Amino acid sequence: MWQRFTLYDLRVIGHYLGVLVLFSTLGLLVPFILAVACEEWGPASRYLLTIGITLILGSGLRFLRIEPGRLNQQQAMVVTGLAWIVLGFVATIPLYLSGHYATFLDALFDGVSGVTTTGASVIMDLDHLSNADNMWRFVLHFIGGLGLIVVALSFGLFGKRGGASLYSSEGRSEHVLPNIIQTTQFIAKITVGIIVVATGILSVICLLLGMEPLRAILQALWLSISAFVTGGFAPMSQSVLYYHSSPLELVIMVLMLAGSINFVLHAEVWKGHIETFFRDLEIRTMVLWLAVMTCVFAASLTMSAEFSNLPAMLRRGLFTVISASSTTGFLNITPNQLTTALSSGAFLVVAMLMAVGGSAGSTSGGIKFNRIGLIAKSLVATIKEALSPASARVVVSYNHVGKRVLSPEAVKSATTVFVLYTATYLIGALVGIAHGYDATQSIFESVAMTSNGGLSSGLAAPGMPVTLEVFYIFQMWAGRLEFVTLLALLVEIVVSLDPRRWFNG
Amino acid sequence: MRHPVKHIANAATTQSLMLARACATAFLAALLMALVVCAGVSSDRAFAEEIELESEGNLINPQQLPDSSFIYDTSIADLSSADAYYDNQTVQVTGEAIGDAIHATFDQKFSWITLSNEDNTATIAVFMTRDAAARIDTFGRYQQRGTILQVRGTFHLACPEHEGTSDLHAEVVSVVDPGEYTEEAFNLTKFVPGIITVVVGLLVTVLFYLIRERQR
Repeated sequence: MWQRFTLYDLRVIGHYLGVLVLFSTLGLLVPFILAVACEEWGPASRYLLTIGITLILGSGLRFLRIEPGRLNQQQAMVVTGLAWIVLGFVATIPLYLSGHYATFLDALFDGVSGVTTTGASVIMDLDHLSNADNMWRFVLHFIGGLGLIVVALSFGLFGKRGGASLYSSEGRSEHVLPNIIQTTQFIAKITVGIIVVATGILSVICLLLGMEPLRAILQALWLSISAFVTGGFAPMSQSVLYYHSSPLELVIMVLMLAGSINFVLHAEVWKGHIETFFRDLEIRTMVLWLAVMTCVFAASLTMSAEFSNLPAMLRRGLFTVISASSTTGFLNITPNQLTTALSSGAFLVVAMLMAVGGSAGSTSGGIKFNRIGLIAKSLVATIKEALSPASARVVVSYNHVGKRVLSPEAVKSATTVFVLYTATYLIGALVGIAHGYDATQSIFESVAMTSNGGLSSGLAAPGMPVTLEVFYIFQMWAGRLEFVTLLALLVEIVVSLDPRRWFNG
Repeated sequence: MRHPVKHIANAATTQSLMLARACATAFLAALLMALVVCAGVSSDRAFAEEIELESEGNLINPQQLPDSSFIYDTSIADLSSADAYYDNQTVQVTGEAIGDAIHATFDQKFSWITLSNEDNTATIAVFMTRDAAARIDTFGRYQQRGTILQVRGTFHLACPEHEGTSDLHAEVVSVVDPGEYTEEAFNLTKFVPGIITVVVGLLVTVLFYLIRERQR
């Protein structure tokens, strides 16, 4: 039943990982060119070195199997699973060399956080970071947010053959357009289009705020990327609070919401089918969920003296709700206010928002609305079955890109992932508590890591315990893969390394 | 019978004594009046004159800030992890101005300046007039250390005027130290490892394609 990997499999996997590493070389060119343009010679030399390393590593890996052939399902899962970690390591090299990280593990944390679009950061002295290094952080978000595989497929890097199995193991199981290549190109086009428009609008706002032109454009670009791919890295250490601008926060809220909506629905709206958008199960779940949680959050805020007036609640509360729910991780309050001025109830509401996350088939993390919706519908079906006679057949239907009928397999898969997420949240909280941290903070941080939310309550900071840091990196990775791929990968590794299997064949 | 000469002599002595007493009294009164007049005149003299003493370097500097700073001095790190204790208190912080002077969105006369502490682990947002902000000559960025400011004002944990931001409304702003630039010269030797690895990488890539073409 458990098929172990042969050497041939490993060589094929190695080849495709090499292709992805080579692809990241293109990403490294962006900060290199910016460094040269801004005369930041230290960063320029570091990025040149990293480009060289990725060229050697990528091409070297491809030598493992010169003509790899088609990827089967298991191989695709391993490539996807390992891609995030391999890319995380590649990302770490220039980050660590920049000198803004206390240890290599800290730089790896930020590398993985960037690639998985979590957005929690342990960087030191962010405000004095060079433009090139800052650009690299957002390039990581861009690559990770679009999904390495998606972008690689879009450029046809795997050839016409390797595609389909990689796409579904990526964590995106929705088929937007009939052809896989077309789908990925469509996603890339929408992303680039929205980011370009948003950069334009935000640049104007930043210029009006009094920033210099170069800084205004760069920061607008970085904020747009981070908001739409629901990443959470910000150019300045105070996050979005730095700008003290409600128009800017409004634009970012729109971007975050757009980024947390299924790409399928983007396509539908683009084609003109607005009613599909409003009838969709995920959109309805999202609206209901956000409405309820905003009310609960507002109610819990009235208990705290500081945020109880309406303008404060609207501006800070709504932004925090959207930032948490889309699993972006921007803050327009200080981290201190997050733990001090918010009551513990409000704090946990934010954690719950991150835990549930956004829509499937978007850049958001968390359990996702389609699963919550499916589980809720399944409850409805169970109640209907309980109330109806034994011989009756209950059919529950829902709308999700066309009319569908609730099937046991879909419910089973949704429930399994739901349980896995919740278990990981709890285990992560226990790990935090075991290191001596406060209970609510541990829960919050564990949820932030697994759901790739990235709102940090202060636990993820330079100097945190090594074991905790390693566990958080694992959680970010697991959450991005939505568990199933990760578990399949782990099972394969265990099975392949089991000595008994080598003799039984 | 009393001696008539002694009587006359007694009378004369008494008269001269009285005369002497009167003179002394008049003299003392005059002296007293003179002293009073002198004191009155000297009190009208202005205090605004600078007093130059004989010893060197003992000048009084009228621009010197009053030395009550020990009452308000707070670290930015304390404020960034403050609880209700510091709310609405007058505090004084010293920090580096980083980033930019952000214009307050709906207020023409004010700016937001972000101050960072010495080891760049904590920041505080300061709300000050644009004139005060104009005194900052450099902002902290890559290779730039910004102007160090000393700001005294009221700290709010969740400012009601600004929809709940943690901020410091500045009352007194003074420049402690202007900014510094550390220019990075172009150094070709730093690029050598990068150039070597890129060349090797390109060779490996070309080699791969050659072998693949050979195999087909």
